[in-house]
Amino acid sequence: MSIHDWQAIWLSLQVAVLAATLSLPVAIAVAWWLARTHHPLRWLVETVVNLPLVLPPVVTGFLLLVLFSPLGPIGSLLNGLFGVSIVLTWYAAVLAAAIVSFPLAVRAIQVAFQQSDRRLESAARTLGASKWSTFLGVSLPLARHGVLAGWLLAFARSLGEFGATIMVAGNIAGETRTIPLAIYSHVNSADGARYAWPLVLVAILLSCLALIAGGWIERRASRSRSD
Amino acid sequence: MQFHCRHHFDSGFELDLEFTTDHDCTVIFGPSGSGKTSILSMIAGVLLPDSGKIVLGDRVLFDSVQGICLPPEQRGVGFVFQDPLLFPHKTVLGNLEFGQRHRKRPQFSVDLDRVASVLEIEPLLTRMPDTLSGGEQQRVALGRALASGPQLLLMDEPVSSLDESLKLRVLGYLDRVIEEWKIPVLYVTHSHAEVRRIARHVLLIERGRLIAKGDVQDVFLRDEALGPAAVEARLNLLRIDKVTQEADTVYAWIGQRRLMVSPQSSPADEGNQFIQFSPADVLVSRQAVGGTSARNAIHGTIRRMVPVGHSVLLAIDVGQIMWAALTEQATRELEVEMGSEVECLIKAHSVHFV
Repeated sequence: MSIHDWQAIWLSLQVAVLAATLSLPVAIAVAWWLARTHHPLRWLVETVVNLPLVLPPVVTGFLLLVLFSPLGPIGSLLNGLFGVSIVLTWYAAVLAAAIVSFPLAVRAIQVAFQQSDRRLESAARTLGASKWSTFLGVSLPLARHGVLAGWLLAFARSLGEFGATIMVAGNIAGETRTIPLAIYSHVNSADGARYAWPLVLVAILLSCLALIAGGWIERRASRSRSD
Repeated sequence: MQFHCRHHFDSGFELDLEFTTDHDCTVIFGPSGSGKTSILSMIAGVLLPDSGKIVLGDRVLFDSVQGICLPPEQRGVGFVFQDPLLFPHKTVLGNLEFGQRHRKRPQFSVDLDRVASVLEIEPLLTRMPDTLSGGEQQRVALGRALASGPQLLLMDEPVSSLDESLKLRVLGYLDRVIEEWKIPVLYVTHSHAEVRRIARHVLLIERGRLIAKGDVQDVFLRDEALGPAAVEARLNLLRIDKVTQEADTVYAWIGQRRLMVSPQSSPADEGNQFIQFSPADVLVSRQAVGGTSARNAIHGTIRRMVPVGHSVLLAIDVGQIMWAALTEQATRELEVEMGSEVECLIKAHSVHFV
């Protein structure tokens, strides 16, 4: 493996961990709202949240590019306030991964909130806990397996993110070139398919690890539910 | 506490109920689906009535006219549910501490050690709820509610999922709690035995309405309380004042009257005690009779006669109300009526401690 391959692996892990972690609090809040609300606009929020799941990632990336380019609505704001542009940087790769993996995290956490016994929350309230302490002390710990599973799904999805990333972050070696982009680049160069193999194996290995960890969490969750 | 609420449920069920109680233990008694649990939920603040007013002590918990509705955590009531609903991710101690940490009335300090010792759950403190038996879980739930320093304790059929012998043990703990902390209890049940066991004051509920209230002995003499189901569930459960022993024979005392108890039955260690026997095991005579094998003969006055099918249930006042089941024919031939003085014979083998 070349130094560039190692850079791609390290970059991919950083991007995936950051994307899954930074979006987690938002995912928990949205999942909680979706699990508990009867708001008439619930369907709209749910549709928007799930959109990246079905939208071609390239389209998601294109929209992000439009929004975050220095002349775009959010990009110009960032530029004016902080003098930064995130397009074609490492930050854009994190953003793209976070957006694309967001619905997976929300869904896993939402299911966990829906499956937990709401009477336990009533019990907590009658014991004197406020809504917020009940959420932190009862609802969230009871949904912990779902939260962990959601993080893991987001992490795994972020590792494989390609379309949106290449649109908004580009394919700059050592800067924004994650594992999938590096494999693509190898294959596109002369005699490159041979050099792609190590990264392909790493990608398979990481995916297997994520699946095994996911299965372990699921077994823990179902055991604690059946108790 | 004052309660006056109306609520229309989506199912079409209407609840419209008013009562006031200041007794240390009030039982809300009624068949399933009569709205008992809804009353407790409204007091606790987990169900909001359409209209009405709920006052606890000098605090208004809910008043639809003034627009007052305290959230559950500010109401100062403890709720013990039908299922223990312990937090599965916390130890027994963690559950108790959750109640204590969110205590609503800081001036009311609860000593967790004392709670654990009264309820005898000290050995369980480090265990997780899923490793406890049903009775243990319900004791922990009671302890957790106590730890939150409630001004009123709501109990929703807390022992209905336990088996018979365990029920009475858990109720024994409830007696101790009332005695130790002087917290008034509002207790919901559809079990006749439980009412007789714990209550002095009863509210009788049916289809969302209050149909009778008063002292437990009186309420169950009224027509309203004498539906067929109530008769079926009828069992003599008499509160005893003391237990004495002469040689091998154990006697239970009800006031000045003495009953010999089955040699196979041994009294509970402490606390309130009861004896139990079936109304069918009571023989009734107009005169004092000698020369029978029945060990117990007690004198009483007939207060009510209730025909049930081909039988008649006699409510006989022996200091407490005791029921005797006779056939129609026997009742006619005995020529008894309301106010008749009778002699009741009960075999010692029929009488058991509970």
